[in-house]
Amino acid sequence: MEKNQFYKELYEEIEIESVSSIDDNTAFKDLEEWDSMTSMVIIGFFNQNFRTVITADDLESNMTFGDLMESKGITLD
Amino acid sequence: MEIEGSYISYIASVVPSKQIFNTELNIFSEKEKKFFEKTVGIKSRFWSSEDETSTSLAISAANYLLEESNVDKKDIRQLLFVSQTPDQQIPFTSNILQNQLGLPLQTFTQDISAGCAAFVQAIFTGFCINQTLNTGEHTLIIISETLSKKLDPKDKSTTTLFGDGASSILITRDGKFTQKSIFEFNSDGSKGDSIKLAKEVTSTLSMEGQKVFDFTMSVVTSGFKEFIQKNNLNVQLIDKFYFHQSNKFILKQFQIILDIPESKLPVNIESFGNTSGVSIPLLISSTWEEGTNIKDVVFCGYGSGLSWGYAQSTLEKCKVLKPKLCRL
Repeated sequence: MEKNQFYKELYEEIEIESVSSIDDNTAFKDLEEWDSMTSMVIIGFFNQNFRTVITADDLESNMTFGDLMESKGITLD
Repeated sequence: MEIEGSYISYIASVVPSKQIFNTELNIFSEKEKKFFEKTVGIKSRFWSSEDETSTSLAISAANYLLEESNVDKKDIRQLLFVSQTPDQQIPFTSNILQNQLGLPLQTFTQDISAGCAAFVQAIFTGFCINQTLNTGEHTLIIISETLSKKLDPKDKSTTTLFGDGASSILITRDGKFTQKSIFEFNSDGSKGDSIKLAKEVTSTLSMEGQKVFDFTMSVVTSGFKEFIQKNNLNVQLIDKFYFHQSNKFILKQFQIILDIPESKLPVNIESFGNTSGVSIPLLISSTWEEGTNIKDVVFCGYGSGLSWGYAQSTLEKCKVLKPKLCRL
């Protein structure tokens, strides 16, 4: 999956309205929409696309989507 | 653990008559409600009225089964009542139910306290104690929960999720029935605080959602894979996978991680919510189609304790009754 497409689909999936787009540098916990349901959707999105299970610790220890992907060894073009 | 010589012969489920939709909870904005329904998947749940209790639901579920089956009450030798929300501490409920259901004085009665893995734990117990019975005799299991009475209406993490209900399950002894049922269980008391209801009457259920979510996504799924591999089960040959209905989103992740075809993993959480130990038999009742050819099935229960269990069994000889609303 291309990186732009990944972020476009994730943006739609978590129904973000507070910012116009998301990317590697987006600090997900700073989003207005950030709550337990949003985190659940992010976990599911990674599971569905990369077969990678993200835990609460992963979310806690990473600031941005880019950090999160790097920590799980995920690279997108 | 493998057991033969018994099978599930009847399942009947009931829910209280009060159906509560998300808007009635007064806890969501319209946007939150839509997002919740899309992800968690619950649109309504059934809650007990003040007069409905775990005992009254249990009586309804058991009478439904007894009325629709031709089971002779004198052949019911053991009665198990399973609940985390019994009406009282003393006396234990199964003994009350022996009288209320008109079962013989010789009935062995026992209460079991178990959470969302309760169905798997209860049928395992039923299969085990059935080994002491004669062919044609039964163990009657009644699982009943009224968690709605223990929810904090301001706590989104619990009050939106849980519903009430009861199921009765008949386990019949047949010494010539050679198909084995297989069971595996896990218990991790070190995480007991993740889902908790203290003893005080005014206490409400608390849940550390993220911890429980991590547990289901990693521990329950890896345990399931081990269960399948260790027992040489072929996912393609299993007719249905009846999983505890905790959350539609989690069930979707299970389906992906465990590579189970969507058509084999039924879901009913949209209407009933999470009914704890009742959820698997209620799922069977609500999705069963008359004349269906469902034989080999796998059950997976997981929840408070933390505890989780898996079973492979058959519903080949099971008569499943459609769920019905309780009427006091």
